[in-house]
Amino acid sequence: MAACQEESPTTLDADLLPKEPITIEIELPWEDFASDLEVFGGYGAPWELGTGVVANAFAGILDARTLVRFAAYPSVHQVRDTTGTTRPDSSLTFVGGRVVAFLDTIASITSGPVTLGLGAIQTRWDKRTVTWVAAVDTLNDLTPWPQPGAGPVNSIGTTVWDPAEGDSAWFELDSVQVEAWADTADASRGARIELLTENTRLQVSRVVLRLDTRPSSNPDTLVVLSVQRDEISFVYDPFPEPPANGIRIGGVPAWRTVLNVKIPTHLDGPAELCVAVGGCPMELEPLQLNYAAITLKSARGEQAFQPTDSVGLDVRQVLRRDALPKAPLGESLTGLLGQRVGPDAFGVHAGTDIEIPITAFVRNLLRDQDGVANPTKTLALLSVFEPISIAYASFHGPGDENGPVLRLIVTVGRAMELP
Amino acid sequence: MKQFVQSLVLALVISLVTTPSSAQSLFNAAGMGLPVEAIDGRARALGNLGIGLWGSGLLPGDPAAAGMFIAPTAVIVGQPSWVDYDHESGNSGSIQGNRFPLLGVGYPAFSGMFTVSLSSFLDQHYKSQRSSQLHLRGEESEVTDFFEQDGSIGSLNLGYSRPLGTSAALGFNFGRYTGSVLRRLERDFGTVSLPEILESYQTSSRWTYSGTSLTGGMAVNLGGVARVAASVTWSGDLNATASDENQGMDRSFSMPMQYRLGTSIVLAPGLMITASAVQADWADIEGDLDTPTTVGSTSNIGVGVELSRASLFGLAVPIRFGYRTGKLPFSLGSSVATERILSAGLGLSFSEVEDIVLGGADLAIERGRRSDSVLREEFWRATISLRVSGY
Repeated sequence: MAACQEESPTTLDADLLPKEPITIEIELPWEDFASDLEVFGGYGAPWELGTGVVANAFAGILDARTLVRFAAYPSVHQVRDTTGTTRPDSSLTFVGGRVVAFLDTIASITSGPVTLGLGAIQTRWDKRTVTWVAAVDTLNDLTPWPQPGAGPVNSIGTTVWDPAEGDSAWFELDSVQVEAWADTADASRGARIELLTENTRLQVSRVVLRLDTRPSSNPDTLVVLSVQRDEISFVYDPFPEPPANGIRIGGVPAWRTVLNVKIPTHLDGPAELCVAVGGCPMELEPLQLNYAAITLKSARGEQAFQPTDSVGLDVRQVLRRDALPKAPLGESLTGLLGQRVGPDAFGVHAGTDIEIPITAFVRNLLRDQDGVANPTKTLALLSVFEPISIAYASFHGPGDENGPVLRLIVTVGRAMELP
Repeated sequence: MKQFVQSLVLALVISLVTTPSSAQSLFNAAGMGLPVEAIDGRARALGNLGIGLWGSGLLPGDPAAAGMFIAPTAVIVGQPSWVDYDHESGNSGSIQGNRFPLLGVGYPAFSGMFTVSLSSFLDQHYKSQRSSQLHLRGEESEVTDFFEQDGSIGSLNLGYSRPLGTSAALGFNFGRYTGSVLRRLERDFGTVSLPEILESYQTSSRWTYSGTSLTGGMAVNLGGVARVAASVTWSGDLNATASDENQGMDRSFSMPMQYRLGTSIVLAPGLMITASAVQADWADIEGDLDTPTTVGSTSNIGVGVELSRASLFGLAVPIRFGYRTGKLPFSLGSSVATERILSAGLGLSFSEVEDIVLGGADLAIERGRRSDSVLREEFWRATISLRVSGY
């Protein structure tokens, strides 16, 4: 029945509405909303990235080398024999091969062709704990590299990679080296890729071993078989020192910045607000808060660790600050992708304001203050995925005009009365 | 006792199947709202204002009428309407809604009739919106304020009436104003350019209405050809009490005395005419309103004719026509709003014993117009009332 549909009368006569609420933006300096800033590092390890980094005196300081261990060689392959019949051949002879490194042309920083070197690692190493100085750093087993930087190695060769010509560089292998890497029980097995051109940093996205194979069923033919890498990691030096008074997010191992947040329960300004509500201080209620965001000013960090891709910033509540650096964290306040920040914000556009919305968190904080004056909670600023890159994001810390601020948008309505 | 329990059960069932009244006019936004008369389909069809009609009735404005027919009686009234409006601002459109302006039960006792009724009084439901510019982050952004007032004022009436001799009756109703109103404002920030969508701002206030009214009336049958009835309603202040969490203040509104007079005259067998008038001076409430509102004195009159000998499939199907005109107490513009209505309708008798209708329905269709200096509404309104007696 049509009459059962309700359509409320809606008038556009503004006189029939209560007095217009006022919406204002308030900026709280660091001292008014936060305290106890601390930067923690060490979350995650390079091997978790699944990619490698090579650098040579990049920005004057950074050296990085990528370590790769390949999977077991194929033991059987479908081969067409001399009669034209395709059948499995389990008697394969590997007569040579090449290591192919695929490089991320966007994430890499180079001004032209570069020279890369490949060597065979001689020392037992552990992908989870390997560092510039330690080949193994597990419980009760600390084995340093004989030479810092995953050395020494048996040099296999060098190659020149020109980013203008493609995204891959390869090193030829002879049958002796191929045979040396066939023993999967050998813990020292592996290849080290290094960069010989100075002031360059490359990101190695993938490394493949391609084997020139002579099948027994058709010895006149060479078949190329691919062997994926089994393990990849990278080592670098120097390890960045924690910032004295800045905010650092990201990197590998990842950095987190922790701060205590205390939202004022009463507002003492601005004058426009005080006039509207008939005097200050005004109690700030959760539903009056439309928006809250921590605003950080991006800074140019160490040149060697400059981001080359967007950084996803995340904010989570630290559930137990006294348990840091291993304190449990709450759910993300920024969503799945976090607050994306382009790499230029840490380079040519350093000083950009980066807003990280935390409206729901602040509203809850205001709600929780029932019976508790100015409750304090701890937030962690971190990257969405940890670790995500050797590069990290830097922001100005508190203490000057570039320090973090809390931006609030607040709407306050006049008391609603009957006509 | 058994019949009394049946009456209570019937009242309960009826109250469960009804829904709250809802908006049917933009004049709901004026002052304290639009009056909703608690009258049934027969009175609507006859242009009657709820007093002085021949036959039984459970009309709060005619408390003596119940004393003319001593039998258990229940009535429920439903009222859908379709409204086209045209505001001087250029805003025009259509609205529709339903309401249940009257629910009543009567039960004979102590040589008279006790009545309980729940009736509508003022409808206050409407919505409004406004757009404005907001200066944020150095940019002008459009925000929209949505306002809704949801509520109405009703009256719970307890009455008693009894016959005086064979041709007169006296009755009264003791009424308690009921109902509440919720005023809710929401500011929507739309697509203001920030890293995150702004949470809308919402605030609301609720008031609960209370107050007392007393209606006394008398009806007299003059021979077998005419009935004359009159009633007066006195009201104390209508109090609006803000709920505890409100910012709003408690308020009080002066209610007017209401005077009603009506008559029905049988001109010939099967032909009856009726006339009625209601007068109420709302001037005292003007001082209680914070928002400047045009307040008027309501003087309504209505006339109608009933052809009661019409029949359909052997059942009596009285045919009715009516006209009424009057003023509304509150206006949106500077002039007092007026209302004019043409009506027609018929009655259906489902069960009838010795000319006494035990179960029946009355249907009215109205075509009317309300207008003031800024708003004009034209509407169709149907009224359907169901009545059972002697159960």
